[in-house]
Amino acid sequence: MGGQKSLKEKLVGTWLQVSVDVVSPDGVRSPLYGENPKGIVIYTSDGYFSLMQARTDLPKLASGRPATATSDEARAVVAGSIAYFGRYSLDDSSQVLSVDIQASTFANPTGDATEKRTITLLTERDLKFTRPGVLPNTTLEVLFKWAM
Amino acid sequence: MKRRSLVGACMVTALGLSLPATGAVGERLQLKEQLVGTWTAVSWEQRKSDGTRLKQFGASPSGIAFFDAGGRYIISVMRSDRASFASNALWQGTAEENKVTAEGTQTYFGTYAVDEGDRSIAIHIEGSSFPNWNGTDQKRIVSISGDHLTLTIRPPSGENVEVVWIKAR
Repeated sequence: MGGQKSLKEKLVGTWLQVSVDVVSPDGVRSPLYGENPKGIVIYTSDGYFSLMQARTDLPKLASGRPATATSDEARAVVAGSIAYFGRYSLDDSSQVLSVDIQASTFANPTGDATEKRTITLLTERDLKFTRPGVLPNTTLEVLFKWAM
Repeated sequence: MKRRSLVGACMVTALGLSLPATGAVGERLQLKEQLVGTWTAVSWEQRKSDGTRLKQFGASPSGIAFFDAGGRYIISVMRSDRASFASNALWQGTAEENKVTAEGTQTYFGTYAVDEGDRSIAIHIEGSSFPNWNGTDQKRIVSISGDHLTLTIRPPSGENVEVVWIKAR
């Protein structure tokens, strides 16, 4: 290995959101959670991860309680953010990060162990991964910076 | 362990040190050392002023809390019995799906600092699923016993929230 760090050694730790972009086939970018989204992802040495990404302009709830959010407020929060966590594994040769989602604000992928992201950049300062977008032929490109 | 205790005791005698009640030198971990790492949720319960107990995230919530050595954290608790969205897109939830999600999931993250004196953490919330919390500073009382961590929120209303976690394995 020549003293080189493994993918996991480089990945483990705390990363802060820089951007979450939907990239169309012609290269046009649109930010999924607005400009300068807030977010974090932590990968632990024992194989867990936890992630949240959110718009910075989510409305405060007028009632002060999530249980009594208006439908507009609930839609803004749910559509304007995502949080999920679970276990992860890495394939060094293909740079593929597989996630086993234990829970998510978006209930659909809960229990799904087949989601994959491809790590396209991983340095001491930057982490970038991509995954297929929800819309056909789009790619979701997610960039984080090291938290320290 | 006995040997270590004995050595500790001898050092106390020799140096005239006073030690915490827990015994030998170095055995008592600082709260921060105990807290740093990965925890999975056991229960989330709020004691309402009418005496009832509210389990906002159900009887067996899913959750993970992570505190890193550099002072960052993320805490997430979610109902484990929520139905999938009918559409396959988070931004196309029905009013009911959005309500269940907003009410049944809680995630927040930011920076924390341990107060070893009163065994609490001061947290700053940078982002969350409850926007009213964004930018606020809050406190959690911390209690660690064996593999279990309890984080207690004491809101002004007196309706304390106790969240119990177990060290992830």
